[in-house]
Parts: sequence; C-alpha cells; structure tokens
Amino acid sequence: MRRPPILSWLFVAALLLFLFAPVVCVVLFSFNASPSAGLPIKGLTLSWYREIFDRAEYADALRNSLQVALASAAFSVVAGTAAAIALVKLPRKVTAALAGFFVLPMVVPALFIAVALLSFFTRINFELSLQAVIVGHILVTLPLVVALIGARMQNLDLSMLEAARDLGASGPQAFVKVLLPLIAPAIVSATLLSIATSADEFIISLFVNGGDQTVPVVIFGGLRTGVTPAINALASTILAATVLATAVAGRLVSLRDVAR
Amino acid sequence: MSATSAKAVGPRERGATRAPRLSGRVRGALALGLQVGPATAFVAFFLLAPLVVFFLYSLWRVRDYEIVSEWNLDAYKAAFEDESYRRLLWNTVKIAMGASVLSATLAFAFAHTLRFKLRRWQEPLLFAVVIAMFSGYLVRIYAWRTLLGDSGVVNSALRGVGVIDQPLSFLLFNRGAAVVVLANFLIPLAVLPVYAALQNVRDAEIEAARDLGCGAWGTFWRVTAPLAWPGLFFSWALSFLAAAGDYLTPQLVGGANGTMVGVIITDTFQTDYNFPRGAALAFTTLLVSLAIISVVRFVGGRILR
Repeated sequence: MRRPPILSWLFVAALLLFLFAPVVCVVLFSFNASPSAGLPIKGLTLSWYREIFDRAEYADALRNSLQVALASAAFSVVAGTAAAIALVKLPRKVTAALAGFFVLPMVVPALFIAVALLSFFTRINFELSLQAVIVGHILVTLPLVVALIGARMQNLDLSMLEAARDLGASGPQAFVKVLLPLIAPAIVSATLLSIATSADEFIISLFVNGGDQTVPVVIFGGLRTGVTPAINALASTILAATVLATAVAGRLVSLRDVAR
Repeated sequence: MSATSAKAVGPRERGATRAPRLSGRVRGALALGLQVGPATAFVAFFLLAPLVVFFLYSLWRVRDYEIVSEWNLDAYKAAFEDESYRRLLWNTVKIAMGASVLSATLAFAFAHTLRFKLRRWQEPLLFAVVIAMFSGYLVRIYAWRTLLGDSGVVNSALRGVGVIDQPLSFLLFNRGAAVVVLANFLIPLAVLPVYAALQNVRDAEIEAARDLGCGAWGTFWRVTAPLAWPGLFFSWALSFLAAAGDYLTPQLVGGANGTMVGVIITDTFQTDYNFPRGAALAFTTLLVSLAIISVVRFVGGRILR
C-alpha cells in the first residue's frame, strides 16, 4: 500500500489506450491532408469537414440523425421520468417486475430487436421510415432514462415531498417546486445520454430506415469503398457530439449512483 | 386567488362525500398508472409484440414471397441440418466466449485496481470508461482497419522503424481480430456491473479475513471473488450475448474464419427475404447462448461459494 502503485497505473493506462486508440485514430485522420486514411500525416486540413456539407447524402444523414436523436430523447425522457417517479411509490413486487421489464431492451441483443422490429413493422404495414427508426431508438433510450432517474429517485429522501404536501402544496406544486429541482440534473443527463445513444445506434437503424439513413448507416455504406478521410470527418462530428454529451452528463450525476 | 382555490376545492369535496374512502385511493392508483402507463405500453407494443410476431414467423412458411401462417418446424429443422450454420454457430460461440471472457477479465482487473489500488482516482477513471462506452460503436470497429490494416498505423510504424519489410497481414480479418475488436467495445459495458459489485466488498471484511490468517490469494478467492461474482457474471453474460449477436465486427474485421451467425441472419433478412428462416436462426442462436449462460452461472456459483 505504501509504495506508489506503478503497476496499477501501467495497467490502467494500457487499458485506456486500448479503449481510446480507435477513436483517436479516426479523429486524427479526419484532419489528414492526404486522401488515403493512413500514415504518414501529410499536413492538416479542414477540407474533409467541408465535404460533409457539400455532399447531400452526408448532410441529409446528419439532419436525420439529429431529428431521430431529439425525438427519441424527448419521448423517452418524458415517459421514462414519469415511470421512474411512479416506480418508487408502487408496491415492491410491482416495482421489481416493472424494473425487470424495462431492462429487457437492454439485455436482448440489438440485432435481435432489429430483426424482430423489421418483422413486426412489415406485418402491421408500418412504413419503414425515420419514424420507425425513432421507435427503435426509443426502445434503447427509454430503459436508460428509467435506470438513471430511478437511481436518483432511490437516493432521494421522499419525506421532503410529504413535508411539502403537509405544508399545503398541491400535488403539481410539490412536483414542480420540490421534486423537479432535485431530479433536474438527472433529467438533463438522461436527455444527453439518450441523444448520445441514439446518435450512435447502428443496427436497428440499418434494418428499419427504409431509405431515410442516419449517419452510422451512411458511414457503413461508405465503408464498402474503403475508409476515406471524409467518412472519418463525418464519424468525428458524431463522436464530438456523443463525447461532449456524455462528458456533460457525467458531470451532472454521481457515477457511483449509476453504478449500483 | 381565494376564489379560484374555492372553486378547485368544491367538486373534490363533493366527490369525497359521495365516496369518502375510495376516491383518494382510486385517484392515487390512477395517477400512478398514468405515469407508468405510456412507457410500459410502449415497450409492450414495440418490443414484446414484435418478439411474439418474430417467434411466430419462425414457425410459419414463405410461399410466393408472402409469409403464410402454415405451422411447421422446417426452418428449425433446416437450421439444425444445415452444416454451414452449425459450423458458424460453433465459430460464433468460440469468438463470443473469447471476447466475453477477455472483456470480463480485463473489466474485473480494471474495477479491482480502481477499488483497491487507485482509490483516489476512482471517479475520473470511471468517467473515462463511461465516455468510452458512449463513443462510437461503429467507429470503434471500423477504425481497427485503419489501425491494423496492411497500410495501417501499426504496419506503417513497424515498417518505418525497420522491424519488418512486408506488412503483417495476420493482424486483421481473422478470428483473433474479431475477438480483440469485440472486446474493445465490450469492456466499457462490462466495467460498470463489476465495479458496482466490488463496492459491496467492505474493507472490514477484507481486514477480518487477513486478521484470521488468510493470505492475499486466500482473501481474494474466499472473500472478494464470491462477493463480486454476481456482478462479474452479469458483465460476462451481457458481453457474451452482445458478442454472439454482433453483426458489424465479423462483417468488417472478421474475415473468412471470423464469420459469425449475425452475418448470416442479416443476409437471410436483407438478401433472401426469408423471414421464417432468419427468425429460426436468431432464436436458435439465442437459445444456445442462454443455455451456455445458464451452465456458466451454475458452475461459477458452485465454485465461488
């Protein structure tokens, strides 16, 4: 315990290097002036980022991704927060059953959800479109919101709500003035993580997009002709958004609360 | 102000006199129901119903490009008799097992280091892992082509230093590459449950074991490991399921011997449009995966008691 844990630091550094190497590599090559995505770096340029907006396919994909991320985050945050708040007030057995139910989309492999949704949508004649992608993404983001807000609710002293009611606040008043300020950071971080998850989601989007492609689907299509710096630039914009969203979200909630 | 509140109270009081005990409770239950309702209904309609339809499809048949509800087990029979699917399933199990064991082990080592060796740095290091978890699933996989490809970063660097003159082509497009790349995006997922489990191991318990004469290894095997087992098992199982069901990794870096069932399932849907066959393949894979997971749970629980 007394000597500096050099081996521990070496291991942690090596693991983090392994985790971040691919991400750093993609961002680095998105600035590479050479059109082949590889070493050596022949000067830096921003021209690949300009190409994103010049190519209609890429610009459309960015717009689609933004739309899907905002729509799925909006629904899952409202419905998920409401559910998470109610879960702590329900009888234990009901809470346990519903908690298990909401974990389901997180445990079922994404490819499985994707093909099941494809079968379902074609069966009920629901047109494969951006709406279908939004539905698929909500399945992934809703459990995340329920888990995050649920964790916050469990660490709250609910007697504060009762105190507010005893002092004459109505139900809605107690919610807006007492509960909402307490869970606001968790709500913001849940929103941000939903957006990040949606922007990053690939396999469900691939199956149900029906032509309205999101950024990861377009990147995947582009990979058939090989990795180009423009693809790296497109991927880097999404990466920047998800990393920023996650970083802000992580500052707002205690990670130890979430890692229950 | 007083007028509006009087109005608001009026009907409620009248209702209360009519059904004094029930109304409050009913209204409370109704409010809770309305809060849980939308989220529950959404998951039920868009996850449970699709899974049911998907399962029914595996028992139906395609005729003239239409799915007709003629009950049969042909798709399952074909799956079991198809030698190439069996080989692929076995390959999938091997790759998923390698990747999930690697991920869970490294995640455990990482969480253990955080919990016991680098306590003061727990928060920032965990934060780094969470960022990795939410950044770039697709990016994380295709970047390995740039890193390990013939003209990639590693090969160029080695050639630049003069260690090799031909690119090392065994780095990519094989089973080993699939395992490494899967582990790369599974490790962040695996860290959180193990970390949470290790929070349950209290210092007092470790000290008690040491005081009673247990060595470092004995304490680890008899105290830390059994307490962390549920979290470790969850991490491994989650990684195993995610790896067994992955499509991108085998498709982009797996090469010939790194192919997995995810690829054939996707092809069956997207190229052959044979939904019953694809559904049967998916359910067979899921069942095999769940069977393996239960065996590991049983055996692991027995060993670490």
